[in-house]
Amino acid sequence: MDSTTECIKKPLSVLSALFAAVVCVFLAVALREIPDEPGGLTAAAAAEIPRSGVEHPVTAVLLNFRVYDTWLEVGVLLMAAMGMLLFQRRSDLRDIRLMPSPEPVLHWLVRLLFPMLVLVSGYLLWMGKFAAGGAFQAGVVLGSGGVLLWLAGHPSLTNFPGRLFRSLLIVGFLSFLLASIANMAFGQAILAFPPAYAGTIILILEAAATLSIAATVSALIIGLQPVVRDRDRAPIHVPSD
Amino acid sequence: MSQYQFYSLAGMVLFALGLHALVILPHILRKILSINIMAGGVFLFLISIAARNFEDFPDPVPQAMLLTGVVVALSATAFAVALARRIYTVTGRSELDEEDRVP
Repeated sequence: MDSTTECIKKPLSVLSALFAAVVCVFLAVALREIPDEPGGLTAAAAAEIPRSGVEHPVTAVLLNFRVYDTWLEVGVLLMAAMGMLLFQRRSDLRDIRLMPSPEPVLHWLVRLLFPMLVLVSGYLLWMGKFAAGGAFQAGVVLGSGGVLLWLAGHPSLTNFPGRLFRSLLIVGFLSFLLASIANMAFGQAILAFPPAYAGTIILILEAAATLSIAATVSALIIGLQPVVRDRDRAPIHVPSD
Repeated sequence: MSQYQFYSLAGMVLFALGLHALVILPHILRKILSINIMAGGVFLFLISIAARNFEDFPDPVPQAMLLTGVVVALSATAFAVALARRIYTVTGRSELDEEDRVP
């Protein structure tokens, strides 16, 4: 039994367990109220898919029917990244401490895997049109590529220009904003894409969101590392083949 | 009990477990993990409700909410960890309990 378990107050623990059990029972009772037959918005989505510009229902919901929601979620990601950068007092990833990389095999493997991750990410993005895939999946795969570079101590991260990094962070949110302004300029409702161009607009929005999500996810994970001063920086060493 | 009800119930149990842990564990990291377990329960519930007895395809709206929700949960967790680190650097403590309120 560790110290954390010891300092738990006994009465509080019993009370909280009871409360959680009651919540669980209430939720289970509520579950019985849900009708067994399929319902929800499946039929409404199915009817509108031909006008959405994509073939996959989830992508249609994400990037067309409920695009406002997705836009704001990209905004939440941007805010999380900005908050983290604020707390760490940094504006880019140029001063992070890279993991030391004594293993030439790891270095070689990451150099092999990273381009493949970029390829997989691009394919996932393209796949969103007709199957499960799209901006969020592609962005997380690409972001994990950034984390992989950091884990292998690859110097390309610390050489990444700060201005470009910040542009990548905002490009997703910005493209949704521009799309809505352009839509209104052409006399449409704020995010109601015309069916003729919806496919193209969605692909552009998804590509921009992918870049932003990738930058955000990798920045949130890597950016928590302490700052290094220039003279502490590990010497950049890339083994040749 | 049909399949979706089983998964929904599992999600609810996860939610309740996370709620209990959130209340009783004083360490901030454990609280963050508890919130993540609660989120996992909500995700499991949403996806199982979306897929109940479907015909052509499962209800895409909960799926879309979940897809963005997973990425947002990841980012919120990372931000929470950044906050926890900041609390640790400023106060030297990483637990929230009654003693914290003593000035």
